[in-house]
Amino acid sequence: MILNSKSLFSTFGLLIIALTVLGVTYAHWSDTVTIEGTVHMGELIVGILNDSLTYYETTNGVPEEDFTPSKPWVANATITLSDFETSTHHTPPQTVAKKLTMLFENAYPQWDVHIEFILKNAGTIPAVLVNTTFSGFDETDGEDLSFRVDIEVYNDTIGAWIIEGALVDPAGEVMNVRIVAYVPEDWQLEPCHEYPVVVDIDFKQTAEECHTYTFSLVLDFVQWNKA
Amino acid sequence: MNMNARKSGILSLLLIMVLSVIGVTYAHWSDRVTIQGTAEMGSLTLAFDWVEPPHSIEYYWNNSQIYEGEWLGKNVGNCSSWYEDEITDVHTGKKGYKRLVIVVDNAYPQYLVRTTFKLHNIGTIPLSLVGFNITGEKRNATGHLIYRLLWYDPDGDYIGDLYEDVNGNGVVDIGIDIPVIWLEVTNQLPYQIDPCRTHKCEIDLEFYQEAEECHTYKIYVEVVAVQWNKA
Repeated sequence: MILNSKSLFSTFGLLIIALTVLGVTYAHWSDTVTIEGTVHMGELIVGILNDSLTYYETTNGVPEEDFTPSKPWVANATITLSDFETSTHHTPPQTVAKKLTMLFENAYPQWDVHIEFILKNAGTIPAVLVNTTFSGFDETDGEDLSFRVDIEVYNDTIGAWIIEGALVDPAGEVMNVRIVAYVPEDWQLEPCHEYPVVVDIDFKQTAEECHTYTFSLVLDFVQWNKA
Repeated sequence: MNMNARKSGILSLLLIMVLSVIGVTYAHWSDRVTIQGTAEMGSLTLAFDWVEPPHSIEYYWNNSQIYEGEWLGKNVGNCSSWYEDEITDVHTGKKGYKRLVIVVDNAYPQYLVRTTFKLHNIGTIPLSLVGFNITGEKRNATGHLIYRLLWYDPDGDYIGDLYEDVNGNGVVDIGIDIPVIWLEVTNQLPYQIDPCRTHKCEIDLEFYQEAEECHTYKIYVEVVAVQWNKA
């Protein structure tokens, strides 16, 4: 019994030594290559550049305050930016608004509003406009508004899309709208680039008194290679 | 049975995970800009004043002067005026009237009636008074239409005559058509009235010798106003 245990121990000892030797030998004849990866993902942010919004009002092309007697109090436009987002990749960081809200109070025919802002790709990935969705409603009559496009043309000379049309309801035209967007023809917005947009709104004689019209235009962008 | 249920459960879970990953990826790599607008339209409403009623006064001529009342203090003719057709501006809730009625009874030549009235802008947009559409008709005692009346005011100052359209051609033909009533309306045109403001006006009528006995002359004066930037 004692002999058996002794020889068993000896066998284990030998085996361990042999394995160790083999192991060291194996280690000496192997090598390692390491692939280490770090991915800095890009950022897709399109919006209206903070502080780029300007607007002014006119009546028959003249500001209300320039009439004699002046009447700057008749109609009023309040246009604001909201839903701000700041890019983390842009240097320096760039804040853009995701929403532009317009409120026109006491509007009347031939009163016009002229709006300018800068559309900016504040991210690092080119973005492409893939969809626009318009919706509008005559809150007073409970009727839908539609946007009738009369002209939609790209002007190579000025490098801009020119879109002219009107918001219409069953009673007729509510307002004429002219949009000049200084963007590439394919609507691909490059990172860090700024694209001025001019919007002119002109209320029509067929707009109804005391009515409230609401409308929205949604612009959907996707990464350039998914358009 | 248990094995099958487990298998399909695992498959569903896998599918949900794959879809979520795809969904998240798509959502993260698209962006949206919204332009939202609200336009609240104003109102343009001209009315006769709700508070102050119209007032008609009779006059007579004497030595190229006019005096209140009638010749020698008699009470022959009568005049009265009032407003009708009440309206409320839905925007401001202010009230007014759309019609001024002037009635002259037992009129006779050189009987002169002056009526003052007040216009009120009960809307929210300034308006401009730009003119008056003046029409009328002559009816006999049974109410039968005899002639239409035509407004004759070559210089457009709203001081003119109403003619009986004898030949019925719709145009005043001097020498054929007959002048029967002299009419003058306040004529500072265009005249702007701001919202909430009023403007006092006057309309004067005087009857000529040619006005026919026992007939009724109906005169319609439409006050035309437009939004202030269209005058």
